[in-house]
Amino acid sequence: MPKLADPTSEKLPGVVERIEQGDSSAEAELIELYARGVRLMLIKRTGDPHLAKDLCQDTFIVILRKLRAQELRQHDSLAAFISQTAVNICIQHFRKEKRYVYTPDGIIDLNLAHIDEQDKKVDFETTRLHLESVLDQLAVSRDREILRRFYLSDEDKDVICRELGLSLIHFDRVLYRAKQRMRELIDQQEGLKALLFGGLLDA
Amino acid sequence: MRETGEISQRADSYVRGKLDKSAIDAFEIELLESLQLQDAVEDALGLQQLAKVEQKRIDSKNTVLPFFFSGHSGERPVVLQWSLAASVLMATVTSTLLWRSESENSGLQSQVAAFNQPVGRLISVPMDIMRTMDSRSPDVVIRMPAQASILALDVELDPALASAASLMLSLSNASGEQVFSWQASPGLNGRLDFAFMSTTLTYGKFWLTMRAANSDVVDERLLELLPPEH
Repeated sequence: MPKLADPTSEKLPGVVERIEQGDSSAEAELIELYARGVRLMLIKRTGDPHLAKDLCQDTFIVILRKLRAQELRQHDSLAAFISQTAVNICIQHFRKEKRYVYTPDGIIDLNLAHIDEQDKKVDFETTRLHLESVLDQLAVSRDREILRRFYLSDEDKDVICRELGLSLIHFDRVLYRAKQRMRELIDQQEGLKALLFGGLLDA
Repeated sequence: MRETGEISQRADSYVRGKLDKSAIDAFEIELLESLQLQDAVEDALGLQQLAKVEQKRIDSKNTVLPFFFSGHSGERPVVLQWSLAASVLMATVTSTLLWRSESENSGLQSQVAAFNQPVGRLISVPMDIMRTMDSRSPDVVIRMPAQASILALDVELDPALASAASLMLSLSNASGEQVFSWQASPGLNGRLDFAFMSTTLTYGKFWLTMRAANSDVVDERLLELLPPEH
């Protein structure tokens, strides 16, 4: 597989060594450059930007502790180390033990999640409204159907094209156009980006 | 500048869950080091969210409420496994109860009222993912109220189920007899909400089984309903 341009690691010469030597600015650089990728990984794995943000924080806490303790032997495998740490944190989260005992008078939560449900409620509604406005801009119902069948119903591109009488090029064009629309809206409304993917620097 | 073509297709495959485990591992390492790939994944995740909103719109048009009374729910097949009395109500609710606005709550109440059901209160119970040492320990224990109520469950889905287009669900008693089965779509927030009339359930343990409609992913939760305190 060809290496893509602009690898983040090239911007961080000696970052592991600097962290091992107690350089806090190196820690900040590491977080700044890897937080977005980790956040996206965790959003994909959890489907929840709020939870992903929390797990991202947990991930970097573990990473920095281990780097400070000089536990990463092969410094050139930093990305693999970060990735695996994020995956482990995610798995641990879903294995965590929780128990609710409910009575009609209220919920006794024996293991409170550290996610602010009120914030989630507001953010969810705001996100939904934003996304509905994007959908409204995709005026052709067939375009919306393509999105739904491709990204949600797990249908293959070939099948969708055959059933809707589309060429593969047309299909790609629909996706490209939808992504452009989405991107324009995100660029116009910075808040939407934070709602969908979290702030980049607040990990 | 945003990339199209191969990078975009790989990001789509990742977001749609089309990669095997080793490919996911390799992709995620590359994702951490490539801004282009991060852009492409962001685009694909955004469109997936868009698709979920579209699905919700469709679901809300195909009102699912009276499905035990009419025998069908819009386009959704419903299998009724239990002989139900006229007092039975079961509603799928499209947004999480924890996030439900007052107007939505009143909406649910009015839906209940449409069936002329005497309802004392709406009890919403979150049911988050938990893994205990003992798989027979209930995930949630609910003390049932003495008066007729709507028992609404707000279930945190396993990520593998949360991303599914639709789920097949069933509720079985401790003897393994299926009490209800139905089909529903996960919420945008990765949760699933539905409600029962408290009077339609007996006390004891119940297994809630959730299966992705087009995959082998299955999750089970154990509920225990306790009789009212006197």
